[in-house]
Amino acid sequence: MSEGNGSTPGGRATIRISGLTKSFGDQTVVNIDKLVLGAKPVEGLIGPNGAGKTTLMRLIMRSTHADTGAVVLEDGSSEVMLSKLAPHRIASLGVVKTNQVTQDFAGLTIWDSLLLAAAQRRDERPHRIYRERHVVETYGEEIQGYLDVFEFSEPGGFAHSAGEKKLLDLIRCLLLEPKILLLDEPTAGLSEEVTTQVIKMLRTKVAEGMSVIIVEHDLDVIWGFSDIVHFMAEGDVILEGDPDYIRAHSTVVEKYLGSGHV
Amino acid sequence: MFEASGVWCGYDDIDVIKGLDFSVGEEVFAILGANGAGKTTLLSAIAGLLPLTAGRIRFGGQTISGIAPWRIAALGIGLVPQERGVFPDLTVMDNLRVGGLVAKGARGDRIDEIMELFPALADLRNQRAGTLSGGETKMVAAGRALMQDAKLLLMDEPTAGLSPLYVENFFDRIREIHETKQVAIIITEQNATKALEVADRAMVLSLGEAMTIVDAEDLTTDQLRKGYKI
Amino acid sequence: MSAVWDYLFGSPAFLIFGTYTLMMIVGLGILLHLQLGVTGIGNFGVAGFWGAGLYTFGIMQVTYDVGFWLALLAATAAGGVLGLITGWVIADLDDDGVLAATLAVATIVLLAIESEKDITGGRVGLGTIDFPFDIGDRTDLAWLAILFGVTGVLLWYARRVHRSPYGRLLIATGTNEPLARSLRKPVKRTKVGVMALTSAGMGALGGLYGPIVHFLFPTQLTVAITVSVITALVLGGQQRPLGAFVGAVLTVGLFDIAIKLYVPLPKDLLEHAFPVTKQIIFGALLIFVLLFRPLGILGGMRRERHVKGLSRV
Repeated sequence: MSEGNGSTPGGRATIRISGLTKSFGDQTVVNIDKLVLGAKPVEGLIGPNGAGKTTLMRLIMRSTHADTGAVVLEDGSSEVMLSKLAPHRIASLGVVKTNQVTQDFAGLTIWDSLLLAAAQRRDERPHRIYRERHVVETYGEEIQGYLDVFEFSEPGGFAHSAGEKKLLDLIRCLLLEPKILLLDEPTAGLSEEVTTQVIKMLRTKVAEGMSVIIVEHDLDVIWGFSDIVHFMAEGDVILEGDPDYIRAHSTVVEKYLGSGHV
Repeated sequence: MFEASGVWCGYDDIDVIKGLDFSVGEEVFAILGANGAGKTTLLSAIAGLLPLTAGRIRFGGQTISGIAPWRIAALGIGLVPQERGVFPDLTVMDNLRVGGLVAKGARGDRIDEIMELFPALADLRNQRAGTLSGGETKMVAAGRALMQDAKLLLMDEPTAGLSPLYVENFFDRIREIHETKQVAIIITEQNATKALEVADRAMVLSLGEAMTIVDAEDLTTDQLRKGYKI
Repeated sequence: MSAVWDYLFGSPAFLIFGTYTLMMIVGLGILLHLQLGVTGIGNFGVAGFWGAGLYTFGIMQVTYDVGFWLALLAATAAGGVLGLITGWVIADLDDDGVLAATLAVATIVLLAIESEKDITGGRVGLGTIDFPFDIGDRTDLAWLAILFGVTGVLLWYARRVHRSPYGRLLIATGTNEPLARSLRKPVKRTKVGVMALTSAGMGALGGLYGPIVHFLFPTQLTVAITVSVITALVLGGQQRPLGAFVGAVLTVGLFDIAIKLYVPLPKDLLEHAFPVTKQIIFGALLIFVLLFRPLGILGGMRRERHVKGLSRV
């Protein structure tokens, strides 16, 4: 895996987490003292059910709010406290997440959805009613590029299947040109062929400088794709290391299978 | 008594369960697998909450795939879901009574039996189910399913997110329910060790496919690791 | 020929007043279309935003003797500010909350007008307001032409919005807020913005209605106007710019203008049974449309057509 070509002067942007906690009722779901995400190009986040992976991602994106703690985006020399920002501001800063559960805009076609993702704030002002041409000219080629790679049954119409919606979700995120892309089960439900295409596309983006943090049930994807794996259990990251190290570690086996199987 | 053959199902057009064949007798049958293996989906399909895209499920000599969930419940299949297994605004007693509505026969005796099985519930009988702790909620959900006079209980990760002390206790109860009430039990678990202590046989599920179906004591760590991809 | 002319335009005053109303419903309907059909904001307080404009215009003209343009500007601003505040309040509410809150806004406006007698004249009324110009017999007609023009501009704008990145942002906001947020779209600001903008339009229409009635009464801005606008829009097609026009022609146009003018109903029937029957027919029609064509006569948006045209926008 190549290290990015250094689009940011101080290396990759990282997410620094400290003292982050989140409880639902009397149950603590996330309790992380210190964690740095994004230092390596591709980082896997794994753990048994209820480890808190999805909640951690939601906390970073502020789609749910933490009880305590801070999430800081460090990018070159600048530091931004993500845990104080609105979700759309976090996305503007280049921290973007795909959706685990299929999400789509009911009224928008595939092209609509992708132009929406690509369009900037200045394109979307109420008085700019002749701005469509500019948006299509600026982003059309890039969008067409994605549509050439990923096959949709009706590219001029709506995304029909859950698989197509999942792909659309990923392309939308890529169009935002994220610095750090959080993937929540990106290949669940996709065929092997499409999964391979997705991973290939992600590798290209990673080579261009994007960082990936990936949660995935199919651990083979994690072992094959990650540079480093964070292992979560009971709300905390308890092990970090390269895939082989994590895979062979007795704690990982124990947390997944129970103590009798180490 | 229970038989699934060539079962496929999923959500939208995504296949989660991909061609399962297995049968369950008068036993405790564990379905083991990592997140996303399809455990919850499979139990929902058995309970009739999710249609099959292919295959057939038979129970007590009758095909149950394709019939309404409440009829499946009346035939004696009780589902204890992982979440939202109780009516939060009803009391513990009323939750149990709701379970009894689909079954024939005297309900009073059965409530006493359930209180014996889960003594903690006796003190909480008039409390609203929504105010209970996670462990107590699981007991109510299991009790409600038993009130249906179930012959087959489907328990979806009954101990997920609960304290270790409770987990120990609950697995003891599972064995007790099976032996004293002659109820067959299908239990899904990610944590294999505990489930294998109470199960007679086990199936390892990996991304919707059965990797192995063997006697619980014969299941090796290697087989599990292969199934979990670790 | 002149017989036909007389038959069609024999009661010009009635016809013109009916068409004023029709144009108001269409104009408000186009603005509500942007709120409800495009952005998914169920505004049940149309009468309030419109009424705020109408009374601001009246107070400016009558009490402060302000000129037409300044009064119209004030009416627009009144609608806009009210929309801004309302938008800010409802941005985080669910659909039911939005309906209740907007209805409450309209009620507050109505109650304020009824109770602040010193400023608004209360139930006694406020007047008189005259047309900003006087060209004799043709003044009414000229005003109607202006209303046609204003409605036309609103229609043109709404159609352009559908073909612009702004419209896409509104649709995205209306259909999936969390997803829009995750694509760095400022959802709350977008909703507040569209409410302010369209409510300003409603305020302006209110101002333009002032000279038509000459005298303002609180009874002119009851929930009835809101119901007429919603009925027209939902019937015609809430997601289409022309929806309000189609719906308004079929309701107000057919029943309040055509039948009253051209069908010789006995006076007694016209005054007593007709209004009730009309409401029953509207209600039945609405249920029928919602059952069999939930997006109205014109149907839903046709975005795939827009995609086909992208190469030549």
